[in-house]
Amino acid sequence: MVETTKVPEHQIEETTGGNGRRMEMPSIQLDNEQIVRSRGDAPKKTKVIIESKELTIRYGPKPAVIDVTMPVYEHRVTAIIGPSGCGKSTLLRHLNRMNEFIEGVNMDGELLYRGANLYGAGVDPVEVRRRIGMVFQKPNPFPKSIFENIAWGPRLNGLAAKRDLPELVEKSLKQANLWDEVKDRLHESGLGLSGGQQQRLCIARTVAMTPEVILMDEPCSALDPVSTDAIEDLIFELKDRYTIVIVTHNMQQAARVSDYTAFMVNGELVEYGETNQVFTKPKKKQTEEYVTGRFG
Amino acid sequence: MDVEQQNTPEITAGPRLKLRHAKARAFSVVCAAATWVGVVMLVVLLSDVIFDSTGWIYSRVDRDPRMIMYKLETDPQFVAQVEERAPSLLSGMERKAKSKERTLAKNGVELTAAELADFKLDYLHSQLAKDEHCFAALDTHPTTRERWLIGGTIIKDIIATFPSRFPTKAGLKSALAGSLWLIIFTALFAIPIGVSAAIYLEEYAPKNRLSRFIEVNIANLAGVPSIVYGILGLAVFVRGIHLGRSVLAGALTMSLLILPVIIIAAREAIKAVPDSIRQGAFALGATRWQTVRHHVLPVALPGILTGVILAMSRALGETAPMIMIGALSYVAFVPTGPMDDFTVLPIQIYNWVAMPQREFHLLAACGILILLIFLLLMNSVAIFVRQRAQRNIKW
Repeated sequence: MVETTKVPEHQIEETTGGNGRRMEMPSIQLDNEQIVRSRGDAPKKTKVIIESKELTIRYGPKPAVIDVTMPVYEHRVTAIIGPSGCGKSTLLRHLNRMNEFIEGVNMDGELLYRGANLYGAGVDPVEVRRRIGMVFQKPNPFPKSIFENIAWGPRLNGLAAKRDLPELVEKSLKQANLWDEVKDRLHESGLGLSGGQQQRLCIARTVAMTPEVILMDEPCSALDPVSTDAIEDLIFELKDRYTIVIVTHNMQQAARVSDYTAFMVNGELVEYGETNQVFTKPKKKQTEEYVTGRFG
Repeated sequence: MDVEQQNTPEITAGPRLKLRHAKARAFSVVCAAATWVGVVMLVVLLSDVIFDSTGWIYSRVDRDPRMIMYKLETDPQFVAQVEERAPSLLSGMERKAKSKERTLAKNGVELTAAELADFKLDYLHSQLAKDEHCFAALDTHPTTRERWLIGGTIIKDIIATFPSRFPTKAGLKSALAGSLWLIIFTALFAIPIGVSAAIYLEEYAPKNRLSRFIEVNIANLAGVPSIVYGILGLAVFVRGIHLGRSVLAGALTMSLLILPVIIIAAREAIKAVPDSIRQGAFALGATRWQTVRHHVLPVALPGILTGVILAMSRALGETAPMIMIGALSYVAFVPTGPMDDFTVLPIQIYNWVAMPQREFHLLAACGILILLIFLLLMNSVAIFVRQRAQRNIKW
C-alpha cells in the first residue's frame, strides 16, 4: 500500500517561518475540543459488528499491524488515524479481505464479524466483500456510464431484477447526494464527473449493494475542501443505515465525522476510544502529541 | 522614499544552456530523419509494386482480345476500321463460330450466345497470338472507361483463375482460397488460446519463479525464426499426428508461430488496465472472472486486438514454415475442407518471382497488391470490432 504523505492541514497552519520549527499553539487543542463538543454527547453504545482480536498482519516476515484488538460498533463511524505507514490502511483492507490480492500477506489472531470468523474455513471472500463494501482513496469509477457503474454490482449479485434497476440506481444516487447533479446524464461516462462527484458515485455504487459495513480508505485525500465537505455530510447521513470505518490523515475530519477513534503508530494500536475522549482527554502522551499536531 | 536600484537580471541563455538547446535540436532532427527514412522506403516499395502491377495490367488491356470483342460489339466505327485493315479477321471469326455451331448441332448440342462468343474470343486470341502486327493494325484506342472495364476483368481473372504456365492465364484463386482457409483456422486456434493464456498469466497465475520462467520463454519464442516452427510443424502435425500437408497442419503450425505475439500483446494490454478498476470490482463482491469479463477485458480489448492484427498479418505473410510443412506450389483446386492440400498467397508469389519470364514478375506484383488488400480487409474487420468495443468503454 502506498500511503500519501500529505501533511495534515493544521500542521501547515502551525509551521511558521522557514526554519521548520513548530510553534506551540494551544488553540489547536481548543479547535479539536470545539469540533468534538459541537457533536454533542458521547455516542450511545450499540452492538459490536466487527471485532479484531490480537490481530497481527504481516507482509511476508514484516509485520504491518501488530496485535490490534478493537471493536467496530454498528451504525457508528469509526475512524482510524495515525501517521503514514502505521498500518491503518492494511488493517482496513483486512476487514473485507481485500488484502488477499497482495502476495505474501498472512495473519495471526482473529477477526470476527457478528461473532463469525471472517477468515474461517468456508467463508467466501466474495460474500464478505458484498456485505462489507469499500470506497478507495482515489475515486475509481468504472469506465462505463453512471447508470452502469451502479447497476453492475447488484446485477452481478442478483440483488435486483432488471426492471428494478433504474429505481435502485435512483435510490442509491439519492443516498449519495448525487442524484440531482447527474439525473440528466445517467448514460454518460462516470469519469466525466468531477473528483468529488466521482467519489460520491463510488459511494453510491457501494451503497447499491446494501452492505452492512462501508470501509473508506482516505476517501477525501484526493478531493478539494468543498467536495470533502460533501462527503463528510454524506458519511453523517449514511451512518443511520450503515456502519462506517474510515481511515483518514485529516484529524479534523476524524474529529468531525467519527464516533470512535483508533490511533495507530507503527502497526500498533496506541489508543482506542470515543472520539470525544481521544481528542480532548487522550490517555496516552503519544496520542495527545499527535492530535494536537506536535507529532506525526 | 527612495526605490532601491534593482539590477536587471540576466535571463538570456548562457553557454551551457545553449549547448543543451543544441543537443535537443540535434536529437529531434535525428528522430525526424529516422521517421522520414521509413516513410520514404515505404512509399518507394509501395509505388514500385503499384506501378509494376497496374502498368502490366494497363499494357495488357490494349492487347486483350476481350477489348477487341467489346469494341466490335459496341463501336460500329471500330468494326468498319477492322474490316478495312484486317478483313480476314472478322470473316474468319464468323466462319469459325458457324462451323463450330454446325458440328455441335450435328451431335444435338445447342450453343448459347455466351458460348458462341467464347469460341469467337478463342479464335481471336489464337489469331492475334499468331500475328503480332495485327494489334498495331487494329489500333483499338480504348477510352478510359473501356480501359477500366477490361482492366477490371483482367484483375477478376487473376483472382478467379488457377495458376498456369502462361502468365496471361495465371491466377491465384487457389492461393487466395488457401490463405483464407489457413487464416480462419489459425484465428480459431490462436486467438482463444493466446488470449486465455494471457488472462491466466496476468490475472490468475501466482507471481513466482515458474511464471517468470514461462514469461521469459514466451518472449523468447516470439523471436524464434519461423522456419523452426515449420520444422516443428512438419515433425509434429504433418508426420507425428498424421495430418498430412493439410490446411489443418498449416493452421496449427501458424498458430504456434503467432501465439507468443498474441500472448505478449494481450498481456501488455491487460497489464495496462488500472488496478483500481479491479479493486473497485472486487470490493463490490465480484468474482475474479466477473471482474475480468466485465471490466478488464473490455478495457484491454483494443490493445488485444492490435496484437491480434499484428499476429494475423504475420501469419498471412509467412512463407517459410508453409514451404517446410509442404504446402504445394502448384494447386489447381480450391481446398474444400481442413484436411485438403493447399497453397498460400506468399508461396504463389514466391513461385512467380522465381520464374524466368518478366511477365511473371509483374504478375507477382499484382499478387503482392492483392495480398496487401487482403491484409487491409482483414485488419479493417479487426479495427471495426475494436471501434465497436471502444464504444462501450466510456473514459
